[in-house]
Amino acid sequence: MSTSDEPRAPRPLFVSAVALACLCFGALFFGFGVFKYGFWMDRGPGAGFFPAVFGAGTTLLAAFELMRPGQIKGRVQLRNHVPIIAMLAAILCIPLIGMIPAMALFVLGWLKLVEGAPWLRSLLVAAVTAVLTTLIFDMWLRVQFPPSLLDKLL
Amino acid sequence: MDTLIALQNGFATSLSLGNLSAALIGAALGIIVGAIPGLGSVTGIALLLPLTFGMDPTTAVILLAALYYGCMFGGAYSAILLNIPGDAPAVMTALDGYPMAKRGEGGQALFAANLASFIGGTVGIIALSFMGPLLAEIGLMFGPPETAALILLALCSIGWMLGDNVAKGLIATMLGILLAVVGIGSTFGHARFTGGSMHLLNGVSFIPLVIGMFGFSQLLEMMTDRPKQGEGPKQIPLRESIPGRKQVARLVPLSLRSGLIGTFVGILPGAGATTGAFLSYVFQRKIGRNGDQMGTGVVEGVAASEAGNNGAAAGSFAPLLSLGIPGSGTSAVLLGGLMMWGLQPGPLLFTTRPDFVWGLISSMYIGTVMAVIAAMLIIPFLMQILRIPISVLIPVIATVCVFGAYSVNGSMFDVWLMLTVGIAAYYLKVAEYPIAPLVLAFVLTPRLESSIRRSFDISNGDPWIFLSSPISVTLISVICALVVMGVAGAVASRVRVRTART
Repeated sequence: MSTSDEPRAPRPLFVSAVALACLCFGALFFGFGVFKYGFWMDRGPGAGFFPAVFGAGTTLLAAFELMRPGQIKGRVQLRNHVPIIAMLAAILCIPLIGMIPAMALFVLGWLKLVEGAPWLRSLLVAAVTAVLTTLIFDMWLRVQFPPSLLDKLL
Repeated sequence: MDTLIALQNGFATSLSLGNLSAALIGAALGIIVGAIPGLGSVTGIALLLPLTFGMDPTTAVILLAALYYGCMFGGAYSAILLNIPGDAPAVMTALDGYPMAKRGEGGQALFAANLASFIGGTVGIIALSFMGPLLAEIGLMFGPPETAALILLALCSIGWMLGDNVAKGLIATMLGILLAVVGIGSTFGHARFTGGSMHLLNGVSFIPLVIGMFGFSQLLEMMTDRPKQGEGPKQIPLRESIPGRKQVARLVPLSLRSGLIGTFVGILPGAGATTGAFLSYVFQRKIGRNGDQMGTGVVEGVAASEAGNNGAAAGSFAPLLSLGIPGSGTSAVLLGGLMMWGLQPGPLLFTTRPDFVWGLISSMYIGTVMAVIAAMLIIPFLMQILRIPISVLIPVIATVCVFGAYSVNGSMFDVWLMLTVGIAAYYLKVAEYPIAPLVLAFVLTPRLESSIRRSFDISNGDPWIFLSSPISVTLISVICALVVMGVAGAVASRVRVRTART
């Protein structure tokens, strides 16, 4: 059973950063709501009413969260950010080779480099993903994919 | 008696081979469209609308109604299996469905979702058949002040979802409200918080937001919170996943109740299936069995949400057919379709085109049966998804996230939005901020803001309009009672904790 005398581990920095980000977000909405969009008009709430009220609420509660001591169970590790880097790389490849090939390459690269899967399985999953996305989004739904350099060259 | 005869004639129309085929095709397509994150029933119907122009109006609307039903069934699948709600109403289904799938009980969740969808939908259709015009009249009694009070009630009910840390829950709810005010919106007519970007003029797109919040943030979590090879939860086999007599007996009453709540919410113009699913879920949590465990992965949560949204889907046809007022985004697209075929929905439609109205209503019975048959047949294939190793699922889900976010508006901006929201949601989740209140507040806020604004316009700025009708007085009394009970409960628990410490 824990008591207040037990030493507490410091709160992870990102928890304070999240509260600070919420505080800034709320303050931004409050400021714009009151000073730019108009809090109250002659016959009721103005366009800034909701942003101001809920921006103020967010700011106050986030400030409370910042000052409050508290522990959390979860931890952020470097490994959690790998999909972000991989996705950024894939999205940046879209203007070069097109969306479907870029995402197929992402699947292949992920399975091979991150998960260390065998070549056959990696190629198979990438190919199935490419075929299914082509069938559903390109051929059936006729989604207009962003133009790519590869399209122009071909 | 007249209704029964009319319904019988309707069945004579809808049971023709062509119309039956249309219902089956619509249901199957709907399940597929509903299960693809980023599409949903509005997009599905909008995509298929041009294909029906060559058809007989009755056949076309039968196909579209079955598609709508299929979408409601399919929306639950990606929510349960991948934690990516196919559309907004399925957000509530994901709360319990995905934890069940993670425990190896995905099959049970899918069967419960289908059973509850069927029951909720049938309740809605029966109500529509016998009380369609009456339901529409009740819906009309909800003007802007009553609608505002109802949505406020829904927002106050989010309280139970706030988790252990009420401040963090409230911050999440308010973040949802703030995100919802971005863009021009229909209330004030000028752009707010767009930063000069034309992509934000229509506001933050819901689908990229929900895909990022639930889908992409889940991927980041999976990187560290995944079972090692061979240590994952044991999947319950298909045969054991089929609900037994006891489970069916447990699910039927709650599905009937949730279906009724959903139907009632569905008839209110603009309230939609999301509000229906949400209020059914909240009601079940308050009064139902396992209520305190809902949100952790119990079958009651899946059933309440699914029955509620299918009831609302049927209910939204009442104001559409009887008054020509769409009750949801999907029925607004259907209204467009009806008008293109030269049909004018409204009180006269029941007398001028009874063949069409009763053909449609009877086809909804058939559409639901078709959808449940197709849905049950598809479960064995869906359960195979649960056997795919997480190492393969991660890149595949990432691909689904990108395509789902892009296909809504065909814009790379939405892909970046999904990615940004996903990263933000991941940090919020790890810092123990609940995500579901944010999404629900985002969905409910535009309607709340416009209802409040319109109420003030009607009353010339007099706030007493919110207490001018028995409906709004009742709803506001319930809101006050909820707030007082919530505050009293919090104070009492704090006093108990302090007493225990001393």
